[in-house]
Amino acid sequence: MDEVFKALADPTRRELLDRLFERDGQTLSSLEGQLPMTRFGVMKHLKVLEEAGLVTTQRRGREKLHFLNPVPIRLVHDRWVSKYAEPWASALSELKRDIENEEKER
Amino acid sequence: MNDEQAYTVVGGRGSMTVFEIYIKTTPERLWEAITSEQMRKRYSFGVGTVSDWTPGSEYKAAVPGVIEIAGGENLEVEPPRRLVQSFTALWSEDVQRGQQRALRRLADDPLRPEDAAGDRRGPRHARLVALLRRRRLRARS
Repeated sequence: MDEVFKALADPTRRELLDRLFERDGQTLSSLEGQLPMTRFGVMKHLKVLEEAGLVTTQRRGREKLHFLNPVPIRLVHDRWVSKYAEPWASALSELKRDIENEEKER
Repeated sequence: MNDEQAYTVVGGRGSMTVFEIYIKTTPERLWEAITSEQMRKRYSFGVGTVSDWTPGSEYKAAVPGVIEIAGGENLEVEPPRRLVQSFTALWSEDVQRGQQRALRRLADDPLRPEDAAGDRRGPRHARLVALLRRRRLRARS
């Protein structure tokens, strides 16, 4: 679990996860195009995410595709959010999202 | 009225769960969201809550004709700050067993970050605190 928290403690790596959350299964080149960073920099960050299990890769021909793996985050969730608390936490999270989206639309 | 007056604790000690969230909005809008049937439907699985939100009134949360989720009484209603409700979960046998009855204390405390020293969450956030007290209960005495 240490690796997961270390990986998530960096804004660029969270940004990478955001990009994969938007569109899963991207190549290094595709991700690199969306961040103001060198190919080498993106590669380094992806490696940290992979080691934490937050990103998994699949080969497709000559391409290496990156996928967001939600399981480690779910394990963090399950460690501290009980079955009993889950519906409440989820309801409040949705309430926040709805109200804040509404404010944006105004 | 305190909890002890409202309910008789049958056995075991009540346990409490606290939920807190900061929402980028005004306390008034947050209150509206909590008490409007339409808003509640959107954030709680299509469940609408019907009540007139006066102190002592009943409320019921349900998907009409499909499932009853919860019901209870609005014990304290002070918009937009405080809403205390008794809460009985009705959504499954699982939750109804043992700790089926709970007192739900939903305190809407619109603490503006600018009023709270050292809070740097930024402007126009309302804080929602939900205190959930689980009790084994017998009917009101």
